[in-house]
This record gives sequence, C-alpha cells and structure tokens, in this order.
Amino acid sequence: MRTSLLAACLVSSVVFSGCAPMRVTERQIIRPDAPGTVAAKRFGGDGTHKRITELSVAGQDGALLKGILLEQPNADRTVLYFGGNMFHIDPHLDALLPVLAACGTNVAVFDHRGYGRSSGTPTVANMQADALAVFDALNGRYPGRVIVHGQSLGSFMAAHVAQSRPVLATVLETTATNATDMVEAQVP
Amino acid sequence: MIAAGKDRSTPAELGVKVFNAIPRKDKQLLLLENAGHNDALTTPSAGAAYCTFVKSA
Repeated sequence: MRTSLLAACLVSSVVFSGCAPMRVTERQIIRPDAPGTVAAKRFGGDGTHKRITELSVAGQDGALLKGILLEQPNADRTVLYFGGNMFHIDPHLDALLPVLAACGTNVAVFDHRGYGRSSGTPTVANMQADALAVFDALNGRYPGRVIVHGQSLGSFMAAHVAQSRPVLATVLETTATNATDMVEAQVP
Repeated sequence: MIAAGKDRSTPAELGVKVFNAIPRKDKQLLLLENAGHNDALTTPSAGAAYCTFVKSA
C-alpha cells in the first residue's frame, strides 16, 4: 500500500494562527514517560485468555521493545496493534485486549520505546524502525498472516509498516494526513 | 480506515483524506459519527464491522 500522504506525517512544520507562528515538534506529539516512572498497575492477563506471553524485540541502538502476545485457539491471523501517544500496556491493555481479541485473532501489542516496559528514547524515525522490527519478529512467527492496526500516533507506525512490508491488512484508526493538518484542525 | 465524527484530535475529515489517497480498490471506511478520538473501537457499531474486516483480510 502506498500512502504517500502518510509518509510525510509528523515532520516538524510551521503553521500560523492569526499573527502568532506556532512550531509543531515531535515533542508535542510523542509523549514518553518521565525518567523513573513506575506503572501503578501491571497488566497480568485479562483473566479470560490463558495463552498470553511476554515478547521482547531488539530495536535500534540497543533499545528493548517489550510486548504482549495473546494466542487464541484456531486463530489463523495476528493483529499487531500500535497504540496512540498515551498508550501503555500497563494499565491500558486491560480494557483494550478484550476489544481486539473479540475477533478471535491472535493479538500482539508493544509499548513504544520510552513508554512503559520499553526502553529507549523515541523519535519518529526510530519508532518507525521499531515498528518494522516488531512486525518482522511477528511475521517470522506467522509468515504472511500479520495485520497491522494503529490508533492515532500508532496509525503512522502501522502505515509505515504497510508501505514497507507484506502485511495481510492494515487498519488505520483515527489517523491524520500530517502534523500540520492536525494542528490546523484544532486551531480556531 | 476508522474515523470518528467527534474526534477533536484527528478530525474525521483528515482520516477521509488519507482514505481517499490510498490507491486500493479493496479499502473500506468505517465512519463512526458518535465516536471520539479514543473510543472508536468501543462504540456499539464498531466491533462487528471491525471483526468482519479483520476476518476477511
């Protein structure tokens, strides 16, 4: 899938609101945890699905990307979900996993680098590389049977994977064309 | 493509723009008029449509 508009997403840009220029930077869109942040609650399964395992994938520059894999009986496809800029496995996966798992597929979810369980410092470029790395890891396990699904910030990662890898399908949820359009849409 | 009518962060029209730019005939748009940015998948009409797409891929 070639979504050329998405390829330019999240680049720094300048938009104008009235007479005041406003610069949009990656820092305004990517919100990693402050150093030393400890999750108040740790996801330990949803009590319904038994085959939940923890995954680790090496990212660029030594970052370790941590995720969760739910395997369901007779599933013939796996949804790889990329969350938005506030998403964390701990504590958000408790509510999200039943929604994604309702389709009967396997489900894999990772924390973005610098978020929750994953180490590293995020930028758009290394998050896109991470997205490819986790896709490659899952596609190695389930060749040709991985669907990428991204919400908000995660939709840019899913679209990047879809442009670069043989995904089974792509779901872009509450996505946007680029950072400039996002800001312009929110400025009166 | 899932777009939400009450999404103030990434308004639905931006998602529709992306949808229109995707050069595929098998693309599908699910526009949820009453959903916001973070609750699209949990709105009542979303689950069945989402699963239909995911299972048919």
